[in-house]
Amino acid sequence: MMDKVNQQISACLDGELSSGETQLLLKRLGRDVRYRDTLSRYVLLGEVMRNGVVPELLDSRFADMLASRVSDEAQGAKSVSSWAGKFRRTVLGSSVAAAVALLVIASLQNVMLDGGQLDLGADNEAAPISYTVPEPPDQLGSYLVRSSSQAVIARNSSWDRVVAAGFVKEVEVMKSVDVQKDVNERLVMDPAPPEKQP
Amino acid sequence: MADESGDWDLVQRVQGGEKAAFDVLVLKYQHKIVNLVMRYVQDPVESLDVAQEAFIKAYRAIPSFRGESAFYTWLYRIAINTAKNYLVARKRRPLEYDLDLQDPQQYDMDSRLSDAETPEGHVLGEEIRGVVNDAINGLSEDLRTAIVLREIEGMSYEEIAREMECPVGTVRSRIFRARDAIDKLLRPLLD
Repeated sequence: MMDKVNQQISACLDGELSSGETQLLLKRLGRDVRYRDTLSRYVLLGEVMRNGVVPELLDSRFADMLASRVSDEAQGAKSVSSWAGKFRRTVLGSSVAAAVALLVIASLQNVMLDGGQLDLGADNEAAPISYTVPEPPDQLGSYLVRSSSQAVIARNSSWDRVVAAGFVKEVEVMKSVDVQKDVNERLVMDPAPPEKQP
Repeated sequence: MADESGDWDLVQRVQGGEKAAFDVLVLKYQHKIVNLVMRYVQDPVESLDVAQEAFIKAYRAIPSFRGESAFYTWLYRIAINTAKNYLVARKRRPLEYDLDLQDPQQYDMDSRLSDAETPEGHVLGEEIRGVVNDAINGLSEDLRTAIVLREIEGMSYEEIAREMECPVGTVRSRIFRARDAIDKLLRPLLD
């Protein structure tokens, strides 16, 4: 019996075993370590014959440990796929929304402007993409309030970039004497639209 | 080549969920991969860990392997990348020459130049080489021809059958009997 299996091992090594025999042999290899050792020795003698050199000798622990890790990997993959299936619908919707939000913020963080060359990407090396910001429409520009004493520009991270994206050309940066020391600048927009022409 | 088609069959079985097929691929290539990794990592113990990692990476990536190259070529590249990453992570300088640029088959032939042997390993290696050579010389002509055409010339069973003018089944039997005869002499050295 052992000779018959060893012959199958020999043919399997050469890629000459039928599909049915391979399936049976794989089960036997999994059950009996002697067959795995035989396969290992057949590989070794082939290496010696071909290269005239003996490769690094490994005992069965290398392959055994690997088989154990592969088994764990396969188990882990099964567990992941079962719970992932259950939560996929719930997670997917949230993920899409989060991705869109991130995309918006990332694109705003990479604004580079002409003229004033407001480099908002200087401290953001992870986002090297820059693009030309389009001119804001005139009516938006008219919403800006210029005030010699009170107009300030908000300079927290995202608001600053939103403002700068559309309005930098129209805005004069002024420092108000009323601004507290820990707030640099804030922009106040007059929300009232311009009067319509008759 | 029969070897490559045999590997591809095993790969497809792994892709179908048969873990035992991956075990056969490991047994087939563990020596080569450990030897290869050792050329980078040098330390025998670390080489085993890195080689294990390379095989695990191959297992994880095997679902996407399409068989456009031979399995061993693909595995060879994974092992090199794993070894290089290991060296970088430990802030060690990689080799001055790059095995990545070498053909895996050529690398195998050049592996005889490896200088990572210990004195004990060298003695055992010499003994094994001697036993294998003596065993082959002691085979009958039919068995010796069959095993040499298979292992050294890389011919398929069908090609050997044509060469030796005998059925494929006879070739399969002769190759096995040759291996078995060599194995009987080799086993005491390795146990």
